[in-house]
Amino acid sequence: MRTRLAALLAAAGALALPAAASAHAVLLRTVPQASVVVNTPPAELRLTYSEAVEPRFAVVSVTDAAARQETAGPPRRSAADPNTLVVPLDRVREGWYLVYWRAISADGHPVRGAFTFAVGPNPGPAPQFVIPSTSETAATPRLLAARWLTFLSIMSAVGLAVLRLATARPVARRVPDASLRGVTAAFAVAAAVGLAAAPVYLLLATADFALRSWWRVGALVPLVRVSAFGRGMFDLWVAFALFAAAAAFAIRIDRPERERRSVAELVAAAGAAAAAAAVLLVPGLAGHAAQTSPRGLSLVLDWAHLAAGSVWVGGLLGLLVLWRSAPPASRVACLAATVPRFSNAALVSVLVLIGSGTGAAVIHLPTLASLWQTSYGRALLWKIGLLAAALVLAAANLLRTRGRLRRPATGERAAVALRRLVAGEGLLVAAAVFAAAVLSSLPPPSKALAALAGASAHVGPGRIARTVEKGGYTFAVEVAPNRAAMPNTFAVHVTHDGKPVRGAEVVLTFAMLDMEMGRQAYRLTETSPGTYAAAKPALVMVGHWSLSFDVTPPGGRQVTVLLVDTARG
Amino acid sequence: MTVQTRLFLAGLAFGCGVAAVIVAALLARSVLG
Repeated sequence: MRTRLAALLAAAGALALPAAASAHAVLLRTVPQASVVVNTPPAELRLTYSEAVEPRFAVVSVTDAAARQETAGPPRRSAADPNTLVVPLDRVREGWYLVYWRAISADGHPVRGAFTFAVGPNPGPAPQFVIPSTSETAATPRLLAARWLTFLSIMSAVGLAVLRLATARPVARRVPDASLRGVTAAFAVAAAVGLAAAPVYLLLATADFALRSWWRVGALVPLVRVSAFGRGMFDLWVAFALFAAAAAFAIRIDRPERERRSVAELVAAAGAAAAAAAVLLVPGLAGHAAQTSPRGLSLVLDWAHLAAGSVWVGGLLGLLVLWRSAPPASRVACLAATVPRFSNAALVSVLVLIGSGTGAAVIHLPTLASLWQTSYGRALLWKIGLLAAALVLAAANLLRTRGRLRRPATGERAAVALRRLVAGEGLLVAAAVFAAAVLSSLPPPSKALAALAGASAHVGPGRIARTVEKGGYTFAVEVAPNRAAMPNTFAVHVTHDGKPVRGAEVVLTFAMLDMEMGRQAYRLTETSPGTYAAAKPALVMVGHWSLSFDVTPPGGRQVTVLLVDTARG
Repeated sequence: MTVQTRLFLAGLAFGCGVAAVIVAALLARSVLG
């Protein structure tokens, strides 16, 4: 009863954690303002983001119409506001300037954007700037391979330690001349690979953030703990090293031939279990889980998912090693002593895996359609498919092979079948971990997708002129030139029974649909009877945007017109 | 292996476990604020 109460209190505490505002750094304000003409040449450029981006990983270029660089130094953090980057400028002359920036978000995803401003009083017409790519991904093949190897080895080491210290422990007692040394050796190899792969992954990711070559280790090491993502991955490495040491000591003093454990063995096993629990919490803190509301629930689900996956993948690897390392005469007996216990552990793991995975998918995916319409959703479908195939093999083991192993007449053939099924299952689970590495490298779909069922029209790319009828009103929407990373004019002409609606309050809200970037809202001003307009550099990157026009006529109810826009560079 | 050695290794294992929990807790505090 007391345990249940403590668990409930812990769950309530976890759910009460503050919610994260947004998963990616968003540029909120600039000085000079975007697409505005200033009369005095600015001495510096100020960029204010939704989170504290690291100046050493930020790239800000300010170029004139002839592509001449106008910055006088690297970006630095404002002393007054940690979310603001300050870039010193040369003495800029009259004319138009393009600002192009790149920053690294807290979860390690790079974000880019561009805008223009002009120095007056007579800057002339805005030139056609050539804007570099405003999209960048953290899912490069090199980073994915390193991420996969890191997570697979860490999960395998945790699962192998569980198998050696708990699940397969009775083998040494029940089967004469059986040994658990093979499983211990496999744990040592997995731990060594994890300890080597984690810093390599960290260096590769840091090299990508800093736009440097990864073999310049001396230049990269001081930057490793500079980003929030780097700090998280570094702490994962430290926690995993502590777990590897704790598990190694616990295995060293364990005497599996005795059924009852000594106090020293129990204390050591408790230390290894605590370290494993801590290691499995760190990836969630360094990734999407800590940036997705509700954060407490996301972290609990991520932890449970990783723990269950570790027990499964490490256990499968351990069973194969146990088979290979046992003397041929004792193989069937070894498996008969281990498989029933592992099957029970694997069944619980699979149930936890499905439950926590479904919960996390509900939190991360705003609509069911985002499962097949976004790259994040498609990676998730791959992962589900691979795990479902592994489950079919696991079910065959559980329902058929386990019983046949115990009978002397069928034991030998069942053991061969089991080895093949376990090898296939292990490969599928390893592939599912790769799908998870892809999944956690992609930005989760935007929450704004949830509102798209009520979209009035899909528009773009290119100039928009679309008329929409809603709530007895006619809305003629125009967006020109509807291109990303440059100022666009957004206008809506509102009429009712053919007459312009004057004095309405019109708010236009932008939300990026391809990744979570928060929302920007602007009030449009009435430029002519019934026409409300503003020129804003609001489409900060290439992709799909939701444009929500909230129109409140004088004395009337608010009518919302939602357009899904495709903006190209 | 003597009892003292076993107890010493058990203490080391437990200490590593506590240290790993502290590392995760400090990271959680810096991320969650």
